[in-house]
Amino acid sequence: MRGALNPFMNTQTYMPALKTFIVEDNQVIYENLVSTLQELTEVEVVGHARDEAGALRWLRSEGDSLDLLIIDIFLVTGSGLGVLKAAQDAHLGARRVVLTNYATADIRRRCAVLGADRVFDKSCELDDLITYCARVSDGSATQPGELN
Amino acid sequence: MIKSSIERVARTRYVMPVVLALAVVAVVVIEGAFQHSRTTLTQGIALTDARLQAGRVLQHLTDAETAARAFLINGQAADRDDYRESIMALAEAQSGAFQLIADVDPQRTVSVEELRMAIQSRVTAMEQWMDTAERGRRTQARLMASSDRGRTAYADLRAGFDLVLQRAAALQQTARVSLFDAIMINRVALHLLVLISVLGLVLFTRQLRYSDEQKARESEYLASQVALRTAELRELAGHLVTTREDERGRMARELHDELGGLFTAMKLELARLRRIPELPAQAQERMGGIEQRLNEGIAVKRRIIEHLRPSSLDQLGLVSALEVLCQDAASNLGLPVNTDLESVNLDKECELTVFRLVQESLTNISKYAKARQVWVSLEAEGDWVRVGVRDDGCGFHAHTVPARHHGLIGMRVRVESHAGRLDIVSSPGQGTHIKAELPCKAQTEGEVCEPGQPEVQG
Repeated sequence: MRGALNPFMNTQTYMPALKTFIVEDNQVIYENLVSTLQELTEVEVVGHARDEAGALRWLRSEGDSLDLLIIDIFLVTGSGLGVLKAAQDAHLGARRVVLTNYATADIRRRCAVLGADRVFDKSCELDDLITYCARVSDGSATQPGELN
Repeated sequence: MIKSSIERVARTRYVMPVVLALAVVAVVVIEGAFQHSRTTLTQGIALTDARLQAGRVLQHLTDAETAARAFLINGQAADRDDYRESIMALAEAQSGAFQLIADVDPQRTVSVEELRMAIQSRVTAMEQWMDTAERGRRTQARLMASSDRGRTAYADLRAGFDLVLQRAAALQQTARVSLFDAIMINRVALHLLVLISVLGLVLFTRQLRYSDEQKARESEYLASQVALRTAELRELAGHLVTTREDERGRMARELHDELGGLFTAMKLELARLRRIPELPAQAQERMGGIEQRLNEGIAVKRRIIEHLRPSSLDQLGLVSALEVLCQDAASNLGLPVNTDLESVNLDKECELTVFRLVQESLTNISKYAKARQVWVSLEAEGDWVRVGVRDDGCGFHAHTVPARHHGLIGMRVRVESHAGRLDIVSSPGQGTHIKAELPCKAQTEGEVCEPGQPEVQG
């Protein structure tokens, strides 16, 4: 369910936690990301996968209940691009965010083609990710592609 | 078996002295036979001459006596002159005959003294007649001549000569027998020499042919060894290249995973820290400083990783990676790098080799070529992928690259380790063209290795 369709999204009285699934193979990053997002935003991490196959498995069974999908592109096995494609093929309602070390123009283009809403650079756009997550949860985030 | 035993004998150190001794013996035998034959023949000729001379001596003696008797009868001066001439001729013939006999009989076993005395007494008798007649007492002289036993004396003389000549001939006979022996020895020695020479020549030729064959076998063996070693070295070099790239890739991955993770975690911590309410401005300032250092650390890490292993190759594929590489080179060199790159089907190792080849070539161009333009091409043709890097710089003699410049050799080894081929076309003033051919990836392999993988690799 997208925040935009939530009838309570602008009331500020009820802040539904963003059900989030994270695909990240680095344990240190994962742990820090979870604690950061849960501390600073209304994100509830409901699942985690370290590779493409695990992510696809989880998405197949519980993907429909998701609000947000945070995906690392380069995984131990498989690729975040495969996860993006699977989410696109399954027409999941969740926003899809890519968090990568290689946020080159080419990668951004490919991710956009595969239905990613935003792409953040791991080393210099973490603040932007946090801000984005916060805005998605409070409903102030615009539709994909419109946010500066 | 026989050959090997002959060879064993021929190889001993005593064979040369033995051969020399045999040669000396052969020369001595032949020379001895020759000398003996010559002596024998000379003596045979001398004996014949001696017979003739002996006849001549008797003839002159007869002539002298005839002339003397004529002078005694008619007292004519012409007869006296004939007598003198005959005596002179006699003396000459006699000494010649005795000399020839002495030649036949060098040991003087046959005595000619008796004969000499007999001739001398005849001459003395005739001298007395002539003396007497010249003094005017011709009658007395005639008397002396008529009482002379001339005829008997001649018979004795002839008999004497015959005896001497027979003895000399007897000596000659032994010499003749030994002459046949000498000729026979000579003949046998020559035949033996010829046989031994022919045998030696045959063995020598055979040995020569054998050693030629052996040499051919050896050089063939050496050539195969060289080929083997070259292949081994190539394999080793290829292995080293692969190991090096693997090691660099592993280091890049570790740096990225471990260090990258730590950096990202730090950034997250910092983001949380910054969102703490009512943070003093001073703390905010310090945090800004920390973040800046952190960003520098991240940049250093990226540079090191990029240097270790071109991430663009893994993420973007070969064509894009080469485009990025050429763009970078163009801006670094300040000259146009024209690219003509088409998508090709190579395995990961080959892609890395192509990337490194272009990278190395561009480095060389920046260091040495003084080029005005560079062309980089990548194309597929059948089962082969062609890579070319060409410049219009100063070029070089393809054979005179200094030994310590391992770049080109490394390139070649690397390409050949993928069963490919590298050509370097260059000459002074004509630029340089590096051309490589690499085999395409086998189709089935690609399908098995990367199931359902998108274009970009993780």
